[in-house]
Amino acid sequence: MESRSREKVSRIIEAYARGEHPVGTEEDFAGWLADPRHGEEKDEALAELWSSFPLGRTRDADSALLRMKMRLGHPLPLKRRIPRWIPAVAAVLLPIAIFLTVFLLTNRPAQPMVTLALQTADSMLYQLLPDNSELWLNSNSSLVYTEAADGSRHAKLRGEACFKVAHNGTAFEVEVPDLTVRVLGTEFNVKESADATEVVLYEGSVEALLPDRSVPLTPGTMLTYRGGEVSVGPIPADHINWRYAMLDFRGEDIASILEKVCRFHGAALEIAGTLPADPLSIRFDGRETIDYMMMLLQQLSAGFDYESDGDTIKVTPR
Amino acid sequence: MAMERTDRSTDTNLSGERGSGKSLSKDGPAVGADVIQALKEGGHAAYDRVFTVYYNRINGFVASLVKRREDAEDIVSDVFASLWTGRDKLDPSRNFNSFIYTSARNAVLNYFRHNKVRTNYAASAVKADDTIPSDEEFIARETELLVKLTVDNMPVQRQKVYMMNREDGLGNDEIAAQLGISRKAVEKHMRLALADIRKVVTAMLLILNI
Repeated sequence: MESRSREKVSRIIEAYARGEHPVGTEEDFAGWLADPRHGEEKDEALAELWSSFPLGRTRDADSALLRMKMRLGHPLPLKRRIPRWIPAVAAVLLPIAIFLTVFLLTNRPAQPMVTLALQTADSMLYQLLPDNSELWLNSNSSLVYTEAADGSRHAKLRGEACFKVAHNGTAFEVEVPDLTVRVLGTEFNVKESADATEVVLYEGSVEALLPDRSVPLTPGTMLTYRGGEVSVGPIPADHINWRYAMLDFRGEDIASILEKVCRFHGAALEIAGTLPADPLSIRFDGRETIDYMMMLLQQLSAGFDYESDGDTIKVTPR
Repeated sequence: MAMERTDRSTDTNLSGERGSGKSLSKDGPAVGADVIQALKEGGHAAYDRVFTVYYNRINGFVASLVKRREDAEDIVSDVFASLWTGRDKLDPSRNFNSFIYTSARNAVLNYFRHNKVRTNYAASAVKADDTIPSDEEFIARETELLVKLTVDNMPVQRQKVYMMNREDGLGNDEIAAQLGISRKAVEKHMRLALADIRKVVTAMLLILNI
């Protein structure tokens, strides 16, 4: 009796699992499965069904994992492409750089050692600075970064930028015409315009150096400098950290997302035809390369193919 | 009420050595206790590994039972999300395959229980006369279900011929004319269809007789 009912139960589960069934049959199956009779046999058959699916990595698993990491807020794998020639060149240049450093240190210790000049027009920019601090440069902005031999860092900014400063025991200064912001290790945003300068501190501590005094800021506060007047207060409720907001899409159409992603990276977008309406929710933090963003978007929407040469993204609807 | 009974009996069954050993014997790249320990401690790499190794199995299992694709995707996603949010409850010394199987199976059973469009099979009887179906009724319905499933799984043409014969009561000549095939072909399809059904019904009858 027992072995026969076991056979019947596993036949039902196997037959159900194998095919597509009309809704009525699905309901009958659901009801049958919910019935407490043959509980042990049902579970054995389900465990057998379970084991019939092999373990191991599949392509589907990779894209499902990316979606899950986004859902759980886990860090996504960053793709910083390092061209193959860099290690070779570094092997040659590093000894020279070390020699030069020692030479310059012993001779002219106060001179800036590293200089980096960045400028944006329509696009925005994410840059890992030589000291491992992170920089998001908004559009129509420019920044000149110098690092002195003692490790202290200085950035001259016009426009708007968000910094996540790596702690290295020395100061990191951001200079705009009105004032200078000095930090140790922290995340803050500086926005400078003809009208006013705003400094928003998200975490850590900074002080704003004005010509006649210095104003310390605590996390969650914003300093505004307008026409020689300084005010400090809590971050206004409507303030949004643009580096999160710029690529935070909630149910936005795929075509519009692609446009913004390409604009962010300063790449041209060509869409051959019309993409079907495909609202998508995804958030990038700007650290990702364009290739990585495109790969994710394609996996999530699955409605298009694309080719990329880094400057131009060619999208073909499926 | 009814489901609780099922759950309890199956859980006891699952925690037994027999079930887990059987499930694991076929497995290739399983995850070891060290990975589960790392996951318990919040390791992202360990989570990624467990996800990658088990995704195909969980997805295949759930999708074979839950036919609406979006619903199946949601269930799989929830199983993996709760693996992360409930990681502190993991016991690395216990068989992980059994653990995650139980979690996936309960998610599917839960779905069947709460799915709005669900029937009638047991519930209607409970509502109607406040009793669960009798054993005779249960077995009759079970047999009916198996026949239905068997017909569903038949090749399209065989299924058509069978349905036209049994449901619509058409004769072989009428079926042949409507489908544009020979009478001989209809007879052959019918023979195969009945053989399929006889196979399962014979098994049923043996049970009924005992």
